[in-house]
Amino acid sequence: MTEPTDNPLQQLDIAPYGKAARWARFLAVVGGLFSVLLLGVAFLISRMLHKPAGLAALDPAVVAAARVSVWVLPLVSGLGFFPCFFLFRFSLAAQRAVAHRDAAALVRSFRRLYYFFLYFGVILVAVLTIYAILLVAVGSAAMLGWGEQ
Amino acid sequence: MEQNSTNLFDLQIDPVAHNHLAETAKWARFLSIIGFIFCGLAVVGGLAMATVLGSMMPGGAGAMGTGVLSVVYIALAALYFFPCLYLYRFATAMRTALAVSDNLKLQEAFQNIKSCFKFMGILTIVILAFYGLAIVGGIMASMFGR
Repeated sequence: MTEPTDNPLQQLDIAPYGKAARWARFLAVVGGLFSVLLLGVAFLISRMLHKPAGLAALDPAVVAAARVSVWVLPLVSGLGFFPCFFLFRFSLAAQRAVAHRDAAALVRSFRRLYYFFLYFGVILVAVLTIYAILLVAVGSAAMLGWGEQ
Repeated sequence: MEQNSTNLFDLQIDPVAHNHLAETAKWARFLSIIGFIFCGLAVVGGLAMATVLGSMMPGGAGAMGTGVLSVVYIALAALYFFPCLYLYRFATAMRTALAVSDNLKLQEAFQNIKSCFKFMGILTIVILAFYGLAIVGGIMASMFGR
């Protein structure tokens, strides 16, 4: 029989939080690996672009796409790395909180979970804003008849 | 004014942590609602593709292609719906838990965030398995295709 305790964390079943942390850790590791993979691909493409002999055989459109991807892939990798980092740090703190019934670690995990959602929310707002601007720009261009023959 | 979050649910959660949980719930709710909207748009897009493009290309490979694409759109919307639902439930339970200092609601919120991460984790495993199969299939095809 378990002894009654003064530790308030004993009164709350935070096992699901620990399981959430375990899945979050898995997602963070996979996401981090993909970020590294994207960087590796960008590095390989940049190496390929520095070999003029090989480029001559390729379609100019492919070469142009490769040049763009050298800049876009590291950007996507960097954007994708931060939520994985926050998620990983959240999982570390949450697993510690559950394993040791550590209230300070639990509070730390709440903060890191907040950063994770804040980051995604801000990115989403930025993407939606870009969509809206593009929509307005395309709509205005169509109304003003720009681009017509 | 006294802050009731200084000893929230008998946990030693300071007002900063209380604020973090409230903000987390707010952003999670926002993300889930946008997710629901995108799910709805994907379903509408899939149905529109099936009806409009299907009527433009009656019979043949074109109609089959739009049919497959619309099924993929609707399937993706259905897949994406569940993490959004868990996230929405997490946000709602967390907001209620913070508002009325309810331990059960807090546990419900934890349960839902676990379900959300678990769903995403299993989906990631399935996608990685498909990638693995595709890579193995590609290597096999190139070996036996010679």
